[in-house]
Amino acid sequence: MVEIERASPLGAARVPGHHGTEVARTPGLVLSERHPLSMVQVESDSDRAARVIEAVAGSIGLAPPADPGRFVGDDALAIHWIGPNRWLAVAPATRDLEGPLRAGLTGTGAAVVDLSHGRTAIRLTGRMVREVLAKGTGIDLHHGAFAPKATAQTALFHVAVLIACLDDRPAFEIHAPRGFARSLWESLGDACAEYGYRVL
Amino acid sequence: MAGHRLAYGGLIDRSREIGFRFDELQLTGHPGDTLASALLANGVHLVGRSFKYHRPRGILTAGSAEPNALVELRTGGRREPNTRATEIELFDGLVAASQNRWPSLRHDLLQVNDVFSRFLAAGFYYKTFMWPPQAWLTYEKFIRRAAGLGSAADEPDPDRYERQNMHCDVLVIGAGPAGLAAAEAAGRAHQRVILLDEGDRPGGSLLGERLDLDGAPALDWVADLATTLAQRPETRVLTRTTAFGIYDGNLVGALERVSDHLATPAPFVPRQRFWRIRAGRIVCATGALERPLVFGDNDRPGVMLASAVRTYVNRYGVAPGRRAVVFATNDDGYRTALDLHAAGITVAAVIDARGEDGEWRARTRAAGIEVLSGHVVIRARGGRGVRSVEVAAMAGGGPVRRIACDLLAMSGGHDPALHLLSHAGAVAEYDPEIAALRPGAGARGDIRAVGAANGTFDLAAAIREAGGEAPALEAPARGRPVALWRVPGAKGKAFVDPQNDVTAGDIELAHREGYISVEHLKRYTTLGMGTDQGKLGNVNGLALMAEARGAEIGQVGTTTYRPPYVPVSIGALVGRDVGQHEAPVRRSAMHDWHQANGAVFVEAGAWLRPQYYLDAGQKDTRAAMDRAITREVVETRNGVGLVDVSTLGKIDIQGPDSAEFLNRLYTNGWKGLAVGRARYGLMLREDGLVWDDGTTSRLDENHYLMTTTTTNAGAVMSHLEYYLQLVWPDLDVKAVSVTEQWAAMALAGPKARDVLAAVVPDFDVSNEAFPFMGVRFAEVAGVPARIFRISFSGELSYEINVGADWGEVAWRAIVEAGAAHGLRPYGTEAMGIMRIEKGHVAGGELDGQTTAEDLGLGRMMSRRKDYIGLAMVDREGIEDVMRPRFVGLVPVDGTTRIRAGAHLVEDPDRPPPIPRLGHVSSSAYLSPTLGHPIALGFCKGGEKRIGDEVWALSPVHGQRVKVRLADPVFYDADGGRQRG
Repeated sequence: MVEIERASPLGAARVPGHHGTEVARTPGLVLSERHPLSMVQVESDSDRAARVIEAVAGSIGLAPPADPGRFVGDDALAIHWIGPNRWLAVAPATRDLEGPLRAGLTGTGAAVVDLSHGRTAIRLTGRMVREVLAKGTGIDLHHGAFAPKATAQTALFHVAVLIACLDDRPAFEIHAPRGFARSLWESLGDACAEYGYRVL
Repeated sequence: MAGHRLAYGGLIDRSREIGFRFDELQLTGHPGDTLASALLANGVHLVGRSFKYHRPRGILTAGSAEPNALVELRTGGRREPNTRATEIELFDGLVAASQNRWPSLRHDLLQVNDVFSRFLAAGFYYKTFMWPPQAWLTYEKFIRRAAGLGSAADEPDPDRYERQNMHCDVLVIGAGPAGLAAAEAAGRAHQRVILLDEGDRPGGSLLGERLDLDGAPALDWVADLATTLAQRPETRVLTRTTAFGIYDGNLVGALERVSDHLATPAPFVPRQRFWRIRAGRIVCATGALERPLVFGDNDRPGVMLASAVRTYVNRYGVAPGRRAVVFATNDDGYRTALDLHAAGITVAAVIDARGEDGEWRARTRAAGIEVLSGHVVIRARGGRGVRSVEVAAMAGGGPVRRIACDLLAMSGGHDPALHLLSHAGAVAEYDPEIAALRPGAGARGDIRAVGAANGTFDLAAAIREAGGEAPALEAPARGRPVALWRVPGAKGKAFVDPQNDVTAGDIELAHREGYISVEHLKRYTTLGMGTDQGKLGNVNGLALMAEARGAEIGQVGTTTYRPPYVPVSIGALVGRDVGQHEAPVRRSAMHDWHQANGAVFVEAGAWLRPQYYLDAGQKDTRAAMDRAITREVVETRNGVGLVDVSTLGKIDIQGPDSAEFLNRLYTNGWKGLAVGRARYGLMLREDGLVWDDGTTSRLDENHYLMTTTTTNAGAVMSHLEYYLQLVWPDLDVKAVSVTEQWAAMALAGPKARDVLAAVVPDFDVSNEAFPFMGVRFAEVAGVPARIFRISFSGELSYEINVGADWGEVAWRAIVEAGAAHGLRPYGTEAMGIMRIEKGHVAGGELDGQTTAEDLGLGRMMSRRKDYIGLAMVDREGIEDVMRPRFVGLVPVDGTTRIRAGAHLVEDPDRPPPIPRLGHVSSSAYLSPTLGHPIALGFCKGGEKRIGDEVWALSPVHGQRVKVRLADPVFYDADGGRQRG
């Protein structure tokens, strides 16, 4: 079967290049989209959670985090804690997560749900990232309170999202629901405008 | 002295001159000036007219409490009324206009109000304009014009306003000496600190004083601390930022005037930023407000607060007058006199209401300045400016002496700025030691006041209280102030609240008329209202009320201080939630295709859905819309149509107890549903009324897909989560929302099978292989799909779900394959008409007030199991056989449309109240299939009355239609088309 290209929800709203205030030095932010992705939610009941964690590690090579508000892994494969005994595994679309997870978790009572098409990931890097996100969310994103590997589900510009801190550049990743992604992208761009930003 | 600018001194940049305009005057000032200081430097004292009496008014303060010097700043869409000239930083090209005067500031004809003022005392509206009652509508227009402040801009504001959140361990409000010390101490303890100040630089009261600390100018001490703070990575200092309110949970609202000091903001940079600050601890170092003195004609231009006089001299290098008199009840009078003297301004006398001697007094006398102890100013004389003051002994009797002057500096004491603490619930307590109200207990949250805001007026003590190290200070100790709420023997109008023209006499009048509570006093006299919220007048006012009642100030209390502390533009509170960002918009995966193909969109919650499709280049007129909708219905019923149904809620349900879970959620049974089959389900709320409906399909042994209405998608998901987590944790079920994962489209019409066959190769589409209510997995246009043979339109129909990123690919493939069969995309209007023709219930019927029986769905209520809502359905009101039941409605004349929302009545001509039979819930203005309007509704008697004629009354539209009750299923009653 010929793999049919997956369309980004941002469509024509993502315009590569410089936007907002013209600045002599590097722009305050760089925005990009990570798409397409494989995203699979795994949910267990508490009794069998330890077994499920083991089985996930066995099937895709990375154990989900036991601690709330954290994620493990990197761009090749990350697993976010998104609720008690609930995790979201994320990898580039070239990697099938659903198949191995479904096979590996058979008999563990865990639910495996493919959410790959339901969200897109927007990445923000640069010195003004925290300022921009603070325009849209009430949670404390200070590096002491929301350090690399922190992940939270909250509202950003009135849209329910997952926010993760990737590193101390700083770089953040936002998982936005597909239907709201374009609207959120526009709000983010608007919030970045005063600092100047580049879209990849 | 050239003009009114002192030869040297001040924090202004004398090397640059900038031009500005005030009314018709073209003037110049320096960077560092405020509009007020620049006006004074140009000898302009008269800057406004008062609210009610149109009395000439000048500049009273040098800060945000200013009641008089209010101007309209800028022009056009940027015009902002009631801005305080004392806070506006001067920029090149500034344009300001005085307010509340006609035809001009100098010649205001409404000054007659001052002459006839005995008719305009407190509460005059209530007494004068109340008869005849309807005439108020006429009077009001004139009164509003005559008494008022500036006028709002009538063009859209071209500027940006932003809203932003911030968090810290310690928030220090006010960067005066106490605030700087508090911020430094907190930062030293490794706390995340935010320090705010309303001014353009830190320093607070020190900016206006001539003072040495540790043997150097006080501003060096300020600069050292500011440098220390700037070097701390976890300390953030925001200037031009006013904390305007404290809310629950240590939340502070602050307004940063990012670009107000510029002619226009830089591109993309906001004019103002509204900060929402969540602080672990709040330190209020908001300082104190100097209290005016209440004597005759104390509102004349040239009468100024003593602290303001010092600020204009020391900070702005301006002489607010050439010959000054100082009148005070505390030692700041002497400090003021000495500063004026040092600047070369003649001080004719210092009038001290107190009798005893002190060191400040001795120093003043030593400078050769006359001091009159135990004396008071009883009246200021002069029209558009002070020319002299009348001075008498405090004790009364004796001669009245007139002293010529063009400036009167006054200080009636200092009131801690406790407004923010009051927002948090702190009560104000009277402290005779400082003759003022200080913040008492009761503040919710971790909040405290330090320094002058706490009544600690001694500079060294204030810094120590804030946690700082007190600098050495060469100044005499402060003597004890006295309270003087009103000058005895004052003549003429003695203003308590100059902004609202409330005099001491008005307060007495209110008391004579029976007002006791300060809250009532405020509403009756308007004391403490307006843009300054009585910052200067409130304490005198309530003290006078106490005096009149023979009570203590503490007994009378204060009016409640509420946010905002200073006016805040609505634009800043709204931030960027305007225009296209007003609320987030939700788009389906096929949105761009719809847009490119003539869709007119309708908002369905956050979703944008195609309402109908116009031809390329066609204008969206009523006739074009009707034609488009009719064509979509007709071509779907006779050929094939395609509609985007991605908005329906979709919930993935897994686990061995899923069927049991569904059994408890829905009224009907789920245990018998086979894999590969779908079933229609009905959900009740806990109270037994119908909540939502939709189909649920069994995808695998322990795997289901539930669909909900678009409206209830989020609420049903929460409902499931709630029951799984809290009510039935024993059920082994997992539910996940997959609404966003799947793009969904319904292919409907007699030719739907042919089109499906064309896009799903090698798939048996026959009725036998894929019957009604069947569910199949297949590939559509090369992408994996779930196909559900369910129908909302009543036609042979397939609902196709594909991964949303492939939604447009699949949609295009179907449209392309359908072209040969005349496929017509249709929108929500055609969909709505077809479901009404078919008698399917939707939003209008599922309004939260109907039962399953009302909807004709009583047969779906299983008697063999328990489910949510069952316990409440045998209530009398729900079982009542005379409840209005679901019916169809047809206009008897065959043409008049029936309005949704209309009442159904037997006889519209009987005198009201007319008994109601029910109402119209949904309406199709024209059923293209039947050729006439139809509607759905609820009528008492329901199916037993089919064929009867009643009336649909819509008083809102002044419309009555005779309607015939019909079976709600207008079309294909036996369902042959969807099953075929």
